[in-house]
Amino acid sequence: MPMFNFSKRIATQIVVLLAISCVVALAGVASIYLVMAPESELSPAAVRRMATFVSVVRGLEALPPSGRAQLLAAYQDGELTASLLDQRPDLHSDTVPVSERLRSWLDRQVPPGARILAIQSRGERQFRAITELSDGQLIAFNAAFDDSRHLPFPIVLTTAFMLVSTALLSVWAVVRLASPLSRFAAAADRFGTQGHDAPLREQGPTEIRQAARAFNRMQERILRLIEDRTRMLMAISHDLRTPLTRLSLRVEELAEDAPRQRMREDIALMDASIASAISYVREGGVTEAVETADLPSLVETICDRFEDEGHPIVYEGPRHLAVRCLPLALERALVNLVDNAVKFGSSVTVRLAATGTGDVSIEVEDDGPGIPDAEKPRVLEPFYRTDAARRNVSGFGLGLAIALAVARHHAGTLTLHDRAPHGLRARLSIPLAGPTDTVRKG
Amino acid sequence: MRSPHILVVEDDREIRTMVSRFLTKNGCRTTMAGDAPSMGRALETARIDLIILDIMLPGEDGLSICRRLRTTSSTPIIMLTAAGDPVARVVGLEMGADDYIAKPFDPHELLARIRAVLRRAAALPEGTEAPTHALRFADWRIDPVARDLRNPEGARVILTSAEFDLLLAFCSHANRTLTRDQLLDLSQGRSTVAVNRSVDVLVSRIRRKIEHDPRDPAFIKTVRAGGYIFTPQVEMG
Repeated sequence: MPMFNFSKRIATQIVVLLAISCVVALAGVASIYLVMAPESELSPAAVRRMATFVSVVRGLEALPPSGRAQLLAAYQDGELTASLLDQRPDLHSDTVPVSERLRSWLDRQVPPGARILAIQSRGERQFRAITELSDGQLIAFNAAFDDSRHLPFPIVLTTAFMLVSTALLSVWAVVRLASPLSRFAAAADRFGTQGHDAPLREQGPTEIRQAARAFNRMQERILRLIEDRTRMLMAISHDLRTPLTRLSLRVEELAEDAPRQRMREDIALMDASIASAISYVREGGVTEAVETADLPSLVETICDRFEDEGHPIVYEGPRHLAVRCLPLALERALVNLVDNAVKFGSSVTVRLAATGTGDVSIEVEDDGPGIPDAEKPRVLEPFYRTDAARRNVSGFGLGLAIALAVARHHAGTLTLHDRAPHGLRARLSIPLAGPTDTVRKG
Repeated sequence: MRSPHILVVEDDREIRTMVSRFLTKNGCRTTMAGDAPSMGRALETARIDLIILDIMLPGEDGLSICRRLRTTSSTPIIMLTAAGDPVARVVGLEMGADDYIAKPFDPHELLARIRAVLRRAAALPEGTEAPTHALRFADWRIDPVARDLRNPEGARVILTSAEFDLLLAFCSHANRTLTRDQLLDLSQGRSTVAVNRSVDVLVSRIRRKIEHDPRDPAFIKTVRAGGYIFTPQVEMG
């Protein structure tokens, strides 16, 4: 499973991008409002009150001083009250913070001659605007503070709308973009492990569909290559086996003094090489089904077989242990490991143990010369042979490569270790639960 | 024992000829056939004791011939194939072949197999066939066709061919004392290892795999001076 790195996920990046563009757009809209229409700092109610205020001032300017009290009385309502001031107040400056731009806009609204002297707060809820008419008459307009004064209404609405659409877009991004991509990655990861070569569904945005199609074509090509290779090898082996059969029959018809045993050995060697090549190719596309098997019975059967051929071999481990596995493939892997061990060592121990972590490990240990550390990774490669093996041992050098392929098919590992004082310990470790469908690495 | 009459069905003329020459040299009578029709003619004209049947034949293939023959006769069949394929082996045995040998084979091994199959056929009284359906004993299940043994937990227990044949012989002769000689004849048909272990070794290996305590066996009991007896109740299923 890849590391869950939230900041690197495509959905996260899309959401971050959307959020940033929202903020930029909002900032742009807000600055346009504030520069072009300073009154947008005010709530709609405040703007309405402002209009009332302006028309009242105009009315007052038009009336003689005697009629003003009457007009003011007519304009009293809940939102705005006004009264004539007989003397100048002590304070002449604003005590309510009003931006310069808004203040100059307000000044422009009042009719020429009149001017707003000061905007002052009266307690927490109220403020008053002291206005001087052209003839010097002072009037105090009282109004309530509007709570929404600092959050201009259009901007609040825009923000809410953008947040909702960002959230919806994120959902869309995850569903339409991120999940097809994740499926894509999972399919690429699974490809090559057992039984996972179904084509990818071609869906999602165009680019992803194109990528999925390209992936499917690539998968098809790879499968065809593998199949061609397998078919070629099968054909070669079939064609070789018929003449080999003839050869082994011909050996029997030779005179008694002919080196018949050595010929038989050569034929057996060729046969074994063909068999190992076929078995290696088969591991690329195992057809065996996973089943529950009693692993000790499998290991003991292999040990017995080598013992019957005259090799000293000891089994150590439980008598019963059920493991989900591919028994034929596992048998092939273990036979190769034991075969190696008896070739290089004089006594062999096969040890089976369930580890605490849900794995079962099978160790094949010999007392031979061992393999130097530098060679260990290389002997697991196909067609590689150590110098010692080149001198003594037949075959294509596929034994350990097959065992490694089998271990991987079980989502397990094959590792080589030194044994004291000398010798090699090959450890094949597979999960008790068997090869799973989960994505696995390596 | 009279010399057995072997029918060699193989499309490669040289292999066919040399096999039959080798078998003749080793005390068999042989007849050769290159395909299904000539095999049919040979079967009509002579009493054949055993058929060596190649899987890859022109026209009707060996598997199909094998299945067809099994419906009418119980003449032992050894299948011959170029593909050392475990799946083909199982299919061959399912079709009713008695044994299976992969090319290229050592002619001596072929001869050993022929003798083992013939001995097994002779050991079985006339009319008693090897079981072809699954058997159960004490929650264990043994399937002679798939050659599959399952323990009470359902896990497959792996046996060698000889061990499997021996256990199968025990199951089909439960609660009867079987001598070592009888067991030897019943269990050697499909042994792929040239070395034939003694019955005692095979029994001890089977006990290790199926008995709860191999030193105090509950299934396969030793009969003093007689052989062995398989004591569980065996049922079909």
